[in-house]
Amino acid sequence: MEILERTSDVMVINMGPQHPSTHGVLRVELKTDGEVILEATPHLGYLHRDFEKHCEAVLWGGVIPYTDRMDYVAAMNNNFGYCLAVEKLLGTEIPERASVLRVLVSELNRIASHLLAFGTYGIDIGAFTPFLYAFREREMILDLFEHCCGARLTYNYIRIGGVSRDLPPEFEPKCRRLVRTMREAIPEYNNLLSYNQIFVARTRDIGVIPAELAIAWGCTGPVLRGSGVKWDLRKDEPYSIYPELQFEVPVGKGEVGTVGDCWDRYMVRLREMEQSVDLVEQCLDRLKPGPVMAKGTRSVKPPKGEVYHRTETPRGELGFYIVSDGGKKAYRCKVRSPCFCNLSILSEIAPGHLIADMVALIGSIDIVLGEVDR
Amino acid sequence: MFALAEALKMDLIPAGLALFAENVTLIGWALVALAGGLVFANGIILYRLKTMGPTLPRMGNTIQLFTLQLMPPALGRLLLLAQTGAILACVGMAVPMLMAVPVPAFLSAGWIVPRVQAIPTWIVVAIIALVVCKALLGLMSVYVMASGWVERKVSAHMQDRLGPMYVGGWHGWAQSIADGIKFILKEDITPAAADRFFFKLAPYIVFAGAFAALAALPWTDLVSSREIANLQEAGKPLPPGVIAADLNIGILYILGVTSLGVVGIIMAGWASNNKWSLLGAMRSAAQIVSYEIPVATALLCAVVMSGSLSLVDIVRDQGTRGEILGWYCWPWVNPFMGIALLIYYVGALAETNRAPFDIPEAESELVAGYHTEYSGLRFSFFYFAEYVNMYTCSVLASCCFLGGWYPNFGSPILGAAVLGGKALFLVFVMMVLRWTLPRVRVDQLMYLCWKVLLPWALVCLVGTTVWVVARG
Amino acid sequence: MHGDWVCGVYEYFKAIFLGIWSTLVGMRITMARFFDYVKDPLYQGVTVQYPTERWKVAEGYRGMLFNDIDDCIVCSQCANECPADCIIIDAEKAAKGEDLGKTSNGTPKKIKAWRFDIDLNHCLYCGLCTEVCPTECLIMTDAYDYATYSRDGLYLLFARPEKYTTAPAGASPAASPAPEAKPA
Repeated sequence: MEILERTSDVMVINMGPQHPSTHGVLRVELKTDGEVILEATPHLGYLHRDFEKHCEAVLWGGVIPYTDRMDYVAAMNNNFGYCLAVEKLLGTEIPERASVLRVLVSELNRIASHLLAFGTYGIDIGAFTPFLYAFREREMILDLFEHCCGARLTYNYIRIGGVSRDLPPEFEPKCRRLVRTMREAIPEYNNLLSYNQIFVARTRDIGVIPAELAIAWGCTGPVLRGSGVKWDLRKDEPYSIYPELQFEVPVGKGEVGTVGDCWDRYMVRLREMEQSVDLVEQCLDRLKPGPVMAKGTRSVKPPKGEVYHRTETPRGELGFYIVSDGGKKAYRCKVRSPCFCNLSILSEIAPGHLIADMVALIGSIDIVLGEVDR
Repeated sequence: MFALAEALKMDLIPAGLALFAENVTLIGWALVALAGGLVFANGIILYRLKTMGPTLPRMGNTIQLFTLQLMPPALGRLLLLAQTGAILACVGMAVPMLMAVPVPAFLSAGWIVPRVQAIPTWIVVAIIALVVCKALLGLMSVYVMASGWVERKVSAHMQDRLGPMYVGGWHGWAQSIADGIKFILKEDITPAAADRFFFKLAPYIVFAGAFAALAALPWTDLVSSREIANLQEAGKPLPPGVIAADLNIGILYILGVTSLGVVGIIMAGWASNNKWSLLGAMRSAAQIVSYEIPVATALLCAVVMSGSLSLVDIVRDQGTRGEILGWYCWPWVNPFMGIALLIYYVGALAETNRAPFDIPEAESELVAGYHTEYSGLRFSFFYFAEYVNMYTCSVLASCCFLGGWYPNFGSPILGAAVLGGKALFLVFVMMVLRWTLPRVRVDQLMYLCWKVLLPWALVCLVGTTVWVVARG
Repeated sequence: MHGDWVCGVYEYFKAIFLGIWSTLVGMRITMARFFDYVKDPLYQGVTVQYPTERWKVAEGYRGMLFNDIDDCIVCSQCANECPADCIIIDAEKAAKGEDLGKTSNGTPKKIKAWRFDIDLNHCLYCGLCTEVCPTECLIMTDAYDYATYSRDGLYLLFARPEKYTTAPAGASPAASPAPEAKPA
């Protein structure tokens, strides 16, 4: 959409930090001509909690509960990324069962996170019902997490050297039921929302991010894949047991409009959910009895050195850059947040859209402010 | 309304009709006088409230509020606002009554040169008018509360939830009453930078616009379609239907007063001095003004079919064609009317700001649109107006396309139930649509109106006209 | 150009048709839910009428912290491990010959705690403290609804210095900032 010739004064609107569709305390300063956006500037920092400084003050293992609070809708994936980074520094060997469990809960959490993204995207576009359908299924996943680690949101489950507990016996049947339910539910979501004509019209050709632009701005995850770039760290830089698992990397193909529009990004998430359901089932099949924690990892002191490790969270590439001075605490910990990089493209693609499209755009980027601000 | 008083004796109807026609102007003026009296009474209440110091309780425990001495101001406030609503309803209904009488009758009714013997009748009719106004207001309040509860339950069950389950015991039936109490007790905030006069006036205008339409909405008929056909054959005048004011321009009047709401909405959005409200108001203006056209065009099809603008005549025409098989929407009656019904219904959704066309109050885009800054009872006026508008639109659709109160088998009560059932079913469909569909964008809304609905509405209108002329 | 025109007409009618069709498809799903609500066993238990009904909390749920001070050997490992520093311990070694008793698993107690406070306002509910506890006296209970009217209500005091004979200066329970909160 090209910017119309301006006929009136510029209006400055603050979208947020108290706004239903900014997914948290994001403030976007909009300069508009009527409803057409001329300029969008995201203002961050309302949820800044100094995660990186915290890491220098608590023990290596004590950082994990803080990683829960970065991307609080995909806490398992954050735990996973941090633990892999520390283990890379330590050179620890992880027991087989623990590895499978980690991938299992990460994929479950990916489904939960994408369900939330799907549901809230429905609300952003104005359909409330898909949100509650998504929460119905997400609730089952949270129940599973409650069984395996005792918490429903901030799990602290994946630890340095393994996972905190083994699964209770009721986990596996419930998880298999979830797999069945999800396979029925995703077509229902598609019928209810994805292929609804109003929804398609609202998201088609809106917020198009061409592949080069997405790469140039450092977008990762579904935002990058929605633009048609097949880049998934689980495939391209595999970690843990991902090389042994079979799954596809869905990318945006521009089925209803241009490649890289909001609908593509949205659809990539739904298709990733299908893949994650398959991954969960494969992990369940691979579960063999065994220890879930490597020996000698209760209180760790990684050797002097630095490490960078990146993992694929539901929102993209989450990287931990950790410097150790050989002590009980980290010397420095830097997080490469996927949401932060994805959000930065907002000011590039928003101009020329309507305010209603702005909502669709923010929703399709699927930010979690806890991770943007850390 | 006269029919309500004298309905029991059918032979009195013609005489009563004449009496009513003579005095209908007086009723209108009586209502205006009554409204003036209420304004005066409200002034006294307002003065009393002001002298009582801090009148409005902050948000808090409702029970606590009731047991504390906050009760009197809260009650006073309830009275104040309820009476303001009553005034507006009275004024709204007096207007059509003033319009209902031709000028000679207006003069001969004797309000300039009062006839002594007319005075007792004047009083009787005024009282009846007042009762009808209040009854409509009460009925609509009950309807709004009930449909508010139903909408919550419907949406909840569609979404695998339970909805309100606590207040009142059985499935939370009293939730709407509790909400009403909450609305009354909430602090009435006027933003510091708002245009105070228009900010306070706007909800009343929206409310009055919605309620004034009720004056010309029919409820049921006292005679069966067979009797009507007989009377028509004999060339005798037909008895009036049960309707507050059977205007000969009924549809036009309803379309006119319901679009009063948009004035209130623009006023609200502008006076709030909030950019989101302003955007909502601007959207609403564009939306309602545009959608009036396909809506009116679709309704014109029914007018063409019946040859009358009076809703009672339109429904009776369908009844004489066949109580069930004669509805206008059937393809054998007229193949275009089904499409016209669809166009009307889509347009009505947009006119009442219901999803998927609720862009003026799109909560995910504009926070709450034009009523962002409203709280408490002033907000509830908008809420009331929305539900009353839904009902009005549904009754219009039922009357113009779906046979109104037919089949009533000659029973007025059954007829009222049938009409109510049809209207409530359409309201239910509106609710289902709201909880199923996403929201369209402004430009798509305009596209739908001007490039889809309007051309097809015109096609229907022309088609209906040709059909009527061709069939004779 | 002629082809464009035909294509435009096709798109126009396709959009109208799809609009109506997808609405009907959506309504079929929502109405199926509406009428199947009671019948579908999978979703029957979605809503729990919370204050009157409660769901069964999973085993190992990480809820409110509780310390059985009679079993505590005041090793302070929990306080060291806590990432939020919400466990505050003031302790003193037992005097020579003073017998503080034994824990339930027979470990002799050598340190007496004048203060064992847990500030749940700061607690992350990560469970790290309970994992290092050697006597398993510090546990996470399955209590989850303990909202209070003031923050003091979430400041738990577990030490009971009245059991001991003398109190060190500055560790008087009377000077404690909060009233005794009842653990679950």
